[in-house]
Amino acid sequence: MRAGRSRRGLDWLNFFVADVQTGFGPFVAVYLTTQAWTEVEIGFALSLGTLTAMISQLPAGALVDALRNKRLAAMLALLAIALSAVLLAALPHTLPVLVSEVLHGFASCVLTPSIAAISLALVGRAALGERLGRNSRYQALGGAIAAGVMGLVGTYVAPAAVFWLTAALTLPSLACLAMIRGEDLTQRAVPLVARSEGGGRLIDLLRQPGILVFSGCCLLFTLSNAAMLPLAASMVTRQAGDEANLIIAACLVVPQLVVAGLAPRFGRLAETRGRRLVLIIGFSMLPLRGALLALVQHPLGLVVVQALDGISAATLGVMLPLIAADLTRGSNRFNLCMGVFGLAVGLGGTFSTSLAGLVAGWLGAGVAFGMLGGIGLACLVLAWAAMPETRAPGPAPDLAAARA
Amino acid sequence: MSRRCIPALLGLSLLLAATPLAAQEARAPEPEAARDILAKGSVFRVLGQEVRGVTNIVVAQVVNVLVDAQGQPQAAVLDYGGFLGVGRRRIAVGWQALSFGPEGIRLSISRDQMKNFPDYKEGEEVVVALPPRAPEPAEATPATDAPAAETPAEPPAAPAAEAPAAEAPAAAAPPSEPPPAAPPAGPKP
Repeated sequence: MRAGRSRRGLDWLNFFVADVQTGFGPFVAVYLTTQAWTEVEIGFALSLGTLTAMISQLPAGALVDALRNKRLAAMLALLAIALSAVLLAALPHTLPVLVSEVLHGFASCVLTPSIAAISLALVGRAALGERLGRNSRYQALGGAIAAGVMGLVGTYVAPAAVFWLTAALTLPSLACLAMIRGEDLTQRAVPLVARSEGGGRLIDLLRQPGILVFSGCCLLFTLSNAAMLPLAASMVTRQAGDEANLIIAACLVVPQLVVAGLAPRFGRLAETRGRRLVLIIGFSMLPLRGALLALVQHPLGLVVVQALDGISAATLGVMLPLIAADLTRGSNRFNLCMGVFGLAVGLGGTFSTSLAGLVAGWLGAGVAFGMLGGIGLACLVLAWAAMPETRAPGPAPDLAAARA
Repeated sequence: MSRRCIPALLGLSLLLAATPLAAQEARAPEPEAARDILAKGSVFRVLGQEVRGVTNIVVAQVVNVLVDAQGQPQAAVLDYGGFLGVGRRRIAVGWQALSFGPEGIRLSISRDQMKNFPDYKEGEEVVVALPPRAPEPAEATPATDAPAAETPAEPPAAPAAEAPAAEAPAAAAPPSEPPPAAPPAGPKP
């Protein structure tokens, strides 16, 4: 295969990027607690990070669209994330941590669309589904291994060591990025429609029904999905004794392994049978998972239910960039569209944990899971009823892009 | 005004200025704070410190200390459990369940003994975990599922009407984050 080195580079870039991003989840709160930060201060720092990430989704997407050299964008984003990790590990005081959160938020919003854009440029639209499936596979493997390793490092070594390790892992990421050669990125998203036809503005993007509906699906998906794992995990901590940590680690790793197994298959299925089928399969796991989590009490049962998490995560991971590429066919707005979807995901995720926490506190975890499952059902219904099929009709998708 | 008023005004202002000074000199000058030196290694930081369990693994971090009206510590609030930050919860443990030393804080209650123990909730009465009482001769094993629970009279001094502590840390991030199982389409909630 001609671009073999670049393809391998992209594979392992996804692996290491997932490694790098693993430490920046809920563990930041644990680390700051050990540095004697109060809950209010930690909440403020993390909220600032979340807010930055949401505000920068659209500008970062537009920025990556505007940059011709997407690998440069990815490199700068990786360096910023490395700096963010070093700031956290070395200087756990107010200002450096706030700077770290802001840097990380913005850099993540640049990195994700860059990688998707590099994937599109490498393989073109016809093979994009499968390529994104491969990306998801390597991300899931990276995330699974990193979750295990960093969890152990955080417990047995020191919390700060997790962030030093994160910073160290940006080095292989940059090496993999360097393996991707510019000559291989030939399948750029060339504007086939003149700009003056209004293919470029954000408001025109938002007016497309496919984009609106899918944004709604993304928002409902993360609103339903994001709180299920933390809520289930705190149930495990409460109910399991010594083996609680092992079970939670399994709850983190099992869905990643499912994604690693399924994602390329979903990518191929999206190409052969259409996007809607994959969306329906993936979204239907949400209400099922909500119902099962409300009913299953045994900690080991929770691990099995988490496998369903893998199916829906594989769906969104592959479908989000794919549908963004479909819907921006013919205009150079791919990354902006990814920014819109990313914003919807961020909004859903932000409200999910707070909402579920409130409901679980007042009415119990079972009701909270039922509510989350209900939101998942709404997502499924929205996709079923309103989501258009965005796969290109006919054998030559590049030529059929006269419609915006 | 004639020029004779000026020395009169001067004298009056001096008199007024001197009055508070005179009053101050009538009181004894305030002493500055006394000081005491605590030798290094004789006292230990508490907030944010890691707490090790019976197996010498870190199981929690101290986030708060609850004292009674005499200033005696009654309980510590811990951020307990979890893996990579996922699944943590807040519990209150009695002060006597903790031991302090140069090598860190130890908790004498095991994870199995903490099974199904209720969470610590701000603004409500505090359920405090204590080491299980010594078994009666008739009982087979010390309580594995009956940690002693005491409810001291004082609620924590935090403002009430706040939602109970969220099960996951405030990382709505993240989204986040979060946890790697979230779709990688954006920053982890």
